[in-house]
Amino acid sequence: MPGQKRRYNVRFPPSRIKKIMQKDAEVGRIAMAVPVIISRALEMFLKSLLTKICLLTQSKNSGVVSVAHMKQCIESEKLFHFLRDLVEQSLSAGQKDARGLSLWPLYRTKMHEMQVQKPSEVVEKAPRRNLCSLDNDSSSSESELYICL
Amino acid sequence: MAERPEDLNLPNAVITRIIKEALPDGVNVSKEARRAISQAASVFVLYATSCANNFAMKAKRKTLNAGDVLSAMEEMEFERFLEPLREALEVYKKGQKGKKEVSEQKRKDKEKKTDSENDKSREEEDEEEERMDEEPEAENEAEEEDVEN
Repeated sequence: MPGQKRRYNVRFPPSRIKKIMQKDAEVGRIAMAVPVIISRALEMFLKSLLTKICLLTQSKNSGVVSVAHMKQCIESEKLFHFLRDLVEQSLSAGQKDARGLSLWPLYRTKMHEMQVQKPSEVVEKAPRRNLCSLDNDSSSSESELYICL
Repeated sequence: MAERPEDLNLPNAVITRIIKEALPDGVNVSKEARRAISQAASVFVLYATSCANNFAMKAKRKTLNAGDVLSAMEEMEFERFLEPLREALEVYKKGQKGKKEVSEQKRKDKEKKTDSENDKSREEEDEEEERMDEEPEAENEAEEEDVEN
């Protein structure tokens, strides 16, 4: 479509977005327009995040954005607080795969309970989650509480 | 369903393009930070999904729609995304309408061609009259099919 050339490469594939969305067991059907809107929102979000992080990077006279810069930025901005657990996990575990997403169930719990999880609870759940992903047999019992990723 | 790590991540090419557009020349991103950004993108999708789904469930709907996503953005305090997202939604809707009109036009053109070919053969004339009577109904059915798609 003409007029969208600039955004040609920054649109995320709707099918991939839908796959991610449907990892959430509570999600049913998704209207066709939704992944399109999410893609746009995601683009704006990432640009916003990167811009903020970049300011920090430059203020430290560095030419390279590091995870430490990311962490600091996420910590300092309330808007990005939902990413806090992700960087914690990413920094401490140094995991390469999507294991950061194993903390996702905690977000759902937070949304429902409308309160912050205690740190001790977070630590308790995370190791169990890692074990679960290694041991496929227990996945069915865990799925009541967690999304098996 | 087999669990594949790449299902939970968004395409690197798009992430890279967004990073390039967001950062000034000369600023680079470490490998770990790039990975973290990709994961942050997925977490954003999941967080937005969960939030949007809450609105859908409140309204007792099983299908997540664009309005739910907009409500979610407000809840997540990304109000400044709302206007661009509404515009994106309009563009999408118009695009869908345009596609429908194009495919209907193609159908009409096809039928006209078929009619002119049938004129050449006398034997098929009787059948052709039957087909012409059915045309209006066939068009209506095609419309419904498109909507369901």
